[in-house]
Amino acid sequence: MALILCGREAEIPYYYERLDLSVYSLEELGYALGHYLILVPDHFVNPELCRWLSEALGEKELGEKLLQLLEMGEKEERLIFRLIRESSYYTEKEVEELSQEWRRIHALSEAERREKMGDSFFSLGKYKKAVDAYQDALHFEENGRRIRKIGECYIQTKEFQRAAESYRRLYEKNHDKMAARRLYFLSKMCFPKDKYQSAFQDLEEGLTEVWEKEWQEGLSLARTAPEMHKIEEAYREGKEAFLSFAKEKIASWKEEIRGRV
Amino acid sequence: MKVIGIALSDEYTDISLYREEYTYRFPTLLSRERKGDRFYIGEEAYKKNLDGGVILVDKLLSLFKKKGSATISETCYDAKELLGIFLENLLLEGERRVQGREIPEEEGKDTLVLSVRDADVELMSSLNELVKEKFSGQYAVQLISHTESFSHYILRQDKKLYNRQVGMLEFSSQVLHYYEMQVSKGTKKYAISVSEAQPDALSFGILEDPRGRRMTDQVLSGLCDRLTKSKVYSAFFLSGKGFENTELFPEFMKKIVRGRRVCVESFLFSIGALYYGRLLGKGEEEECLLLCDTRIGADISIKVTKKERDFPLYLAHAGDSWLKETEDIRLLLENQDYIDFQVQDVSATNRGKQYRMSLTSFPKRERRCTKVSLRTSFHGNAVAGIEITDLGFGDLWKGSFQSIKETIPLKGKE
Repeated sequence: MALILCGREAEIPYYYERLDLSVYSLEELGYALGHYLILVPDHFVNPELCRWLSEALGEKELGEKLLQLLEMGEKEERLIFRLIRESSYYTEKEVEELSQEWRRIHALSEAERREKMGDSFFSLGKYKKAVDAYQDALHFEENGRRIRKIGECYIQTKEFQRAAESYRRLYEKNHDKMAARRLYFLSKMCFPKDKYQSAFQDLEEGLTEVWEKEWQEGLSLARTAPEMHKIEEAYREGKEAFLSFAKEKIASWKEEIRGRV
Repeated sequence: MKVIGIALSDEYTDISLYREEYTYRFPTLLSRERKGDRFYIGEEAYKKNLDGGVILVDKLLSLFKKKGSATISETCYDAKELLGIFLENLLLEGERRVQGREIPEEEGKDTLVLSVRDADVELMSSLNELVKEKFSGQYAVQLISHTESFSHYILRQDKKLYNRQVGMLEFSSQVLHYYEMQVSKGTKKYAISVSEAQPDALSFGILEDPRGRRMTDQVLSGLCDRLTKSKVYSAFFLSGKGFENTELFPEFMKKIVRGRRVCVESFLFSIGALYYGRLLGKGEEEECLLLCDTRIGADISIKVTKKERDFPLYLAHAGDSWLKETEDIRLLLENQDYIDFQVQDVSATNRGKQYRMSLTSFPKRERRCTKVSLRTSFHGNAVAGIEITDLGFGDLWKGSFQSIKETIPLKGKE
């Protein structure tokens, strides 16, 4: 239990592009680096960052030291960990653990590293970036897990057609029942509706009926959900009110989806 | 370095520029031409009023305190504006009077110190706002009370004069005020000063009449007996316009000088403010801690950690002016949903008191992902106001910006 004394905050943030994150303090920078070590890009410590540290944060000594080390050709790992230590966000023990994790990450194969990057992006809700990372991993080495993860990403971004394609590919690869189930439900949201009918022909008898029953139960629940009530209420208020409500709702969904990219 | 000390009151205002000898007294009066926008202050304002053609406004400080206003030829001026104009003109007139005189050359920041008798929280805060607004572009500005100014004056005197208790009586129109100061002996050096208005009010008007003078002498003698009973003073001071001529009060003077050193300084407060301004201009403070109505009497701290090292972080030190602006502090909560404040009264021998502020109403987040800002403010020297705001953690965790406010007593019982 403690109160950690923080340093100054910058008026103008540093934009950490890979995480699509605006950073205002050394503590936030420490958190972003340490929690998403796999996502730290090459040459993260650069003159622009050093200038921001010196000028915007008032950490003149740190900014100048890092710039000096950079110019001397210091290794990326040492620069990153100098920054993590100076953030004072982690204890020395935690920094040691992060250092070990860094080594583990850099010992991974390219495919494994890309997949882990995808996992990090997924946890951050950056599903489009996660897809790109998983695709890269797939390019190096194809496996079902990576295909499934791509499918999961497309579900989050509501690109059901693409999600369905991923699960179809996964099912064709290893006849995974879970993939077939996902494909069944996704096919309900695709056009034409019978596009993936052929994929279910080899399934054991009665399985699609069970899934259909689940689908119908889900639809019934959805019809009585509070969100649905709001839509029905808006509809009852008349054409203009409903159109205005719909416009707002669609805009908020778009905003939500864009945030997931 | 330009140093100016001003002692402001409803009756008169003293201004000391650069040196003690360049001290001038102005009635706190302002007048404006009926047809025109020229302002006059002090005696000149009074003379112009006698000639006609101006409208006179007096008791500017009381008007300011009441947040009043005055209409001069169909223009309504609020009290803040009028007091501001008076002070601006006072400075101009003061500068005009010292023009051509020998001015000491000293390195430092131009400083203006304003002293008022009443350390009322609202008055001081409003006045502080006014002087900063008007003069902070040209001067480092500081507002103090007469009690504090008294301390600064005494501490500049020979040590023999304050090796015991020091007393002072201020005699202004309608005002009799008693001041006392004691410097502690021992390793912790602090100077405690207090003041108290006396119930006897005497008008200058009655001093023109011999009976009036005798009556005043009797009142002052009685006061002397009451105040100095069983007290030992290393020195006693007399200040204010009323004591410009002490020969008017022979009985009082006989009593007050018996067995003690008595010094008369009518302009004590503006000179005390000037002395303090000189220190501030050089970036210095008094050697000993000042404890009075404009200074906090306790250290306030919280325990924080940085790079895994624990240490106390002082939000304010005893002796700090409670008008001083404080900077917000930012803290990250590490598995902690409260903040403990340690208050140590500097003149007490106990370990101080601890006050806990609970932060359980703040949103629950991942460990070390709640940053809070802590703001300290003072409502006089007896109470600290604490405001803690949830900032979230940058763009990573959106803040609720919910604030929790509490007050902490700085002296006496909880």
